[in-house]
Amino acid sequence: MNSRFFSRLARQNLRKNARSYGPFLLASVLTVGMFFIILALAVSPSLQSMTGAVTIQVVIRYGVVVVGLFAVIFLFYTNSFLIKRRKREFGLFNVLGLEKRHLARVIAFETLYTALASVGLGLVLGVALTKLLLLVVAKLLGVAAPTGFFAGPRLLLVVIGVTAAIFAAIFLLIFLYSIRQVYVARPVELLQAEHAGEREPRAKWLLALIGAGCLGAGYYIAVTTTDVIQAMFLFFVAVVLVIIGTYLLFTAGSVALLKLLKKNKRYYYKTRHFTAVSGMMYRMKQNAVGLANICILSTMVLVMVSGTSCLMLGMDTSLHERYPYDVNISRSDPATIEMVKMAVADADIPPEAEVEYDYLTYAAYSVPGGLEVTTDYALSTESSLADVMVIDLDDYNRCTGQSMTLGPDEILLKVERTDYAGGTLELLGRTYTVKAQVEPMVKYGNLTANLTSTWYIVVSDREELAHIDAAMAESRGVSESERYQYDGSYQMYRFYGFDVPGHDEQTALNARLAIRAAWTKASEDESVDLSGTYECRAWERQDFVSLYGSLFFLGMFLGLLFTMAAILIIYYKQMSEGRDDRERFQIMQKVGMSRLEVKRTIHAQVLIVFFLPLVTAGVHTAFAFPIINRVLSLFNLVGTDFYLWCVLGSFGLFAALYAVVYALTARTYYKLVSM
Amino acid sequence: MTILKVENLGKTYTGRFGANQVRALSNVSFELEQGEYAAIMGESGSGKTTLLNMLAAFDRPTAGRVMLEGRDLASIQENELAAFRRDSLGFVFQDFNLLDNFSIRDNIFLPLVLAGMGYVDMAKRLQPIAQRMGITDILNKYPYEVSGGQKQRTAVARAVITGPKLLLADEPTGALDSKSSDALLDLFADLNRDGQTILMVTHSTKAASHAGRVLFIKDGQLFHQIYRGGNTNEQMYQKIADTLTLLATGGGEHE
Repeated sequence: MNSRFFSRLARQNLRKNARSYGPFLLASVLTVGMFFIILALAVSPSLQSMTGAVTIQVVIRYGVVVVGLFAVIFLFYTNSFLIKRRKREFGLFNVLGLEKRHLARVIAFETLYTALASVGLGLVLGVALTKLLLLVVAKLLGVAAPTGFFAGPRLLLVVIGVTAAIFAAIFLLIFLYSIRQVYVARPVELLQAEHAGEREPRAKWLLALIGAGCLGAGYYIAVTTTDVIQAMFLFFVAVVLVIIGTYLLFTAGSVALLKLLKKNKRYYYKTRHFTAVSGMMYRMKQNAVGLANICILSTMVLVMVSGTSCLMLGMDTSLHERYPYDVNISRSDPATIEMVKMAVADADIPPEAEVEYDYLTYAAYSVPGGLEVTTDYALSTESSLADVMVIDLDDYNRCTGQSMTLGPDEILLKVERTDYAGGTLELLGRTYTVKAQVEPMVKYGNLTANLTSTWYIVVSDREELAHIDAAMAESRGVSESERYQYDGSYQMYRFYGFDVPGHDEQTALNARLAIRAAWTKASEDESVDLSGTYECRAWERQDFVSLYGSLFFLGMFLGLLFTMAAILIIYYKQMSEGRDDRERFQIMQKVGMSRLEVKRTIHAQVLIVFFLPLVTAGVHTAFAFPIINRVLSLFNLVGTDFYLWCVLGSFGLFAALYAVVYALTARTYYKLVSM
Repeated sequence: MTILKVENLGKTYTGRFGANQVRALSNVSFELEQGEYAAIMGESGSGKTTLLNMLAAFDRPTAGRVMLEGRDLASIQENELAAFRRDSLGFVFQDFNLLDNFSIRDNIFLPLVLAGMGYVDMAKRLQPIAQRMGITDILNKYPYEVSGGQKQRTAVARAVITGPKLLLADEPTGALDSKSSDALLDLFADLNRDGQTILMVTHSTKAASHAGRVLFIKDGQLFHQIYRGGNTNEQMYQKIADTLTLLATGGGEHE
């Protein structure tokens, strides 16, 4: 027997098993292609040269690792499906006289062909699509598309080489696993492999309870964590708990539930329930892990796609929160504001919607009934850490167009990221009456980017503001001589914000240049206090786009990859079930079940198996909603409605795709069963 | 009273595009009386299984008809067929056809559950049958946990629990050792004494020797039949063996 024989046998086998190898090949081609693309983007100098693309490449490099790990697990897993299904075939070859080492050679050829086809086609796909993806990224970043290919010929070869090497290694692993399967088994076992494990599963109550506990705890954390900083950390705890819970409930919980149903004789011995309960028990035993995988993958897709698309679509909202005006200036010396105004006027830019107010900001602890100022901020108490901003009523009324009035000890209040229900507020030794919690408030971007709660306080007049400033300085032990000299204040700042005509980005950038030039000139004079910031929204936008755009891109990219994986796993599940079910339904028909009843029963079970993961993923996503919403608030995205639409949109899209796959798979499945 | 009447039954399988016509059965006629125990014998490929499939309405004849209690099977609508089969016929197969994911008890209940019977009634019916089949102790076990003989007795219990007019058995001893075979045949004889009409298809002389009448089929045609009369099982066995020899040595040409 020469190798020509083995290679021909291998080719025949692949052709014969086209229905199971076809999807595997497609999936591995796509995996190779996607790995190539993400690797190419991670090292592409074209991407590097795009403005602000540093962030995106850092993010994409994480993506390379994720896709790589995913490729290993995914291809390995799907291949083990295939091998399990083919054990009988191998057993037959074995009985017919092919020794195990011969079988190993056949498998070697099969793996070689699969690998060559996957890597070859995958690379072609990758090379073809990379340029396209680069254009997509350029569009996302809002920059001009790079000309030419994504990399020079040398770099291209390196990327191709690395991709090919990695997947060669993966296929080698797959090959080793496959021949191990053949070597450890005896021919009779190989012949019977498909029929092993028909034993009815035991109910593992403890595991089911632990699973329910984990899931409950995960959900509880997700729903009850109100603190933003804790949310960041606890989110991962919740994710791990929910994953554990999902696996345990799918495996142990489902069987336990079905056992419970079976014990209820009145329920169990009904025509429809009888076959369904026992059928489901059988299915869950074989497919629970696969279904849990699908569920987890689906949840990841939903969370990732909805989260990143929410960031991307909501980017302008958060940009406007963070930078409320086209140009935002905060100065400790009000005189420098005049300098800015002159510079802008000199550049022939007429400022619009000008806003100007004096304010104090400092950090404090929120304590029951008030805010406490200290000099020692320990991290552990972050949860009650508060950022306080104080302005006076005149500025407030002028800037917001309101006409509020306040008595001497009265204040207006607006609190963000926490709630305050007290009627009075104690601050630096004085107790104020909260006249009202108000909306709107003056716009101040710096505090929107915070993790802590923000307290906007409007006091009655200028004297009160000055008093708080002085009391503040005193509480921190800052003597009068150490305070800033020009107006005698300690921490009083002036905010000046304006828009440029038509919000034109170029005009805004010009204004920034003019201000910067004035700044540089002023800094030569040491007597001018230049502490403070100037921020231009158009300028900062590029950072936002780069970060959010890359997260969005990665979210979509991985979402697509995981969706593909989920679809393939479902397909194989259905195929392998179809074969088992055929026999069972034939028997039932012989004993007196009509074709219609058989079809109805099959339909119900397939539907449950198919949509159980999707529904569970939906529930997971729903429970993740509050915590993700809070994490998103770190990105200045405060609106719940907006994220809700993103989640619903993602779910709708995913469910539609899922339903299409269901329709396609169900057809093949019926064919298998009724054959 | 005649329970089963087969008239000029024929079945021709047609290959694709009308080529390769294979005549599996032709012009088979016989009647079965209420309470009779008959066996149909023949070589592999003689048409036994085709005949059984017609009788069970698994397959439609191309000629002639099958009447069960005066009702033409061909007149039964496709959607009624399952219920008809469930209520009127009981089946015992060579390979048991038990469902692995049901316990022995649930396997026996299957046709009753499909017929929509309540649990209490089912349990009442099961009790005497299980006792008779000697499977009371294994009712909670699963098919993979019991012996072949027990599996087949479970299948018989499932077949008779609906009180069928006709019990059809297809090589019921084919997968059993001789001891289990004997036990099963005794069980069939026992059921027959109580009035159960049985039609068994087999090529085991031993199995057929328990029947009251044996029909021989060869190349799709009814070749001969012998009645027990007053013969013992052993005498019956001898008569069957003689007939089979005649069949094998080409007696068919002299018919």
